Amino acid sequence: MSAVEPLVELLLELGVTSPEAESLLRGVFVHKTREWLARQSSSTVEPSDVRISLVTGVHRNFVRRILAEPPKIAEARKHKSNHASRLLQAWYNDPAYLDSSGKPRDLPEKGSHPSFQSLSTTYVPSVAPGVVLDQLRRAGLVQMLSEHRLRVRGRTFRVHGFTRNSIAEVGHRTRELLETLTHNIHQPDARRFCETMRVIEVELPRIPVIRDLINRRATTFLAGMEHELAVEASRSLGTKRKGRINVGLTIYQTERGPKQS
Amino acid sequence: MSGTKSRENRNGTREPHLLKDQWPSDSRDLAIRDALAIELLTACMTALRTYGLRKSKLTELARKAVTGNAESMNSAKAVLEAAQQLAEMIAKWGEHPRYLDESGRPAILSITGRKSSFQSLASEFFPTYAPSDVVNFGCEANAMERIGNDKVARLNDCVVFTGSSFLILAHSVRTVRRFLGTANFNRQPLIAIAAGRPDRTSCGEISDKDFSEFISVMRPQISDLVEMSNRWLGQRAKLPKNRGKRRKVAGVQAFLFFE
Repeated sequence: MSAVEPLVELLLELGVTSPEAESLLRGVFVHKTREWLARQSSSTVEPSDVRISLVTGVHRNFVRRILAEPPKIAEARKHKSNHASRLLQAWYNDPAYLDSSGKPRDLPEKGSHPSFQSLSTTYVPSVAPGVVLDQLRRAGLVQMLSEHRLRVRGRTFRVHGFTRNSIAEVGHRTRELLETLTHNIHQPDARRFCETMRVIEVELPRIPVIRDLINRRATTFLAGMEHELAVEASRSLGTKRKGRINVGLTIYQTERGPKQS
Repeated sequence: MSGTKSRENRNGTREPHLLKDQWPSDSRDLAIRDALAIELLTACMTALRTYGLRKSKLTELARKAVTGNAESMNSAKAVLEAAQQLAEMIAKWGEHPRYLDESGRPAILSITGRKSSFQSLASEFFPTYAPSDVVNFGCEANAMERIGNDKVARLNDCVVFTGSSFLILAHSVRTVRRFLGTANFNRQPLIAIAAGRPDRTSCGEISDKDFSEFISVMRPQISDLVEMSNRWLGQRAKLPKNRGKRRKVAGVQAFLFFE
């Protein structure tokens, strides 16, 4: 129990649901059993599915299926949209929860429609609003304002801090930027877009306003590009994989204090 | 009305009438001009009838308009004055450091109090009104909402006219006047393309369902464009060179249509 509890907490932080965790655990269990039985035996023959089934308590048909690929969450168990994600999507898309600019409103935690309570009971009726809110706050996706009001900070479930995923993202983004820069050096006639606005100096207390402004403008711009290029993306679906290429566009903000320059 | 029709070619398909730079130059052009004038007046009359104006009343008003006997040409401005003040107050709420929270967004304000209160904000734009009256007005316009008895939060970054015939009619008058002003400017002969006032249209035939999606796609784009313009104009308006008497209202307006 003591060993499993921290693992469950970590899974909660990662947004992994109970059926997903169970599916993953079963896969790891079956794979490890095969290794364990192989070590126990003096024979070079791999343990049979029936034997693994007897040891693990998993039906032999499932054992075969699980062993056919590395341990992972079974597709059937995967929550296409877990509770938090479903609620976030609604907060960003349901007109009742948007302001006149089409952006998500700040909501009172409780009370009549529109509130976080009404949003949660509409889109995640099976879970208490408080539980969903805890999950979102832990992931840094909802900010608690004064007067029990809530502000949504992002639509994708992402774990903050130095996690395997966040470090992988640093590597991924850095690689993308370097590839674009080196491509432009090698092929100036077929440049990929890489432009920077003139650096401006702003007063320190204005930084939250500037960050918020850049966030809103860039998000709107990226959403617009995504909608505009959706036709191109759907058109390419008819062609073979070899004839396609991944195209992305990333915007990031830079800040540099006097001591850093 | 044959002048308004496009010509048919040998294949039976219609060809658009190619207009000249300057017109009217002949009777056919005059006929087109008159037809367009009737179309513009009809569009206005049809819209006005939805506000409860009967044909006889419209005829009487049209006669007054033609003879220049209209009582006031500032009715729209007067109707929209309070909404305009509210819009400016809302803009300041989202811009001035005193009214922002630590994340740079409009803060929740106490209705009463000295500094950083709604009272201090409202008194600048509505000096003769009690803060509670301004709160009621702002809530009705969906610009803000009450939190408990003594606090308010900004709800939208603009004043929404939706649902108010009075405000929408006044807004329509101002919009038509502004559009005609731009159109008149752009029809000047020999005007350089880069000197013209930008006026762009995009359109395509889509279903009701796709139009709903079009709204959700375009709403943030339009809001951001207008907000960006508002910020630029607001900052320029504060400069000493723009504080003189010879100032004019500049701006950009964008809306979706579904005919």
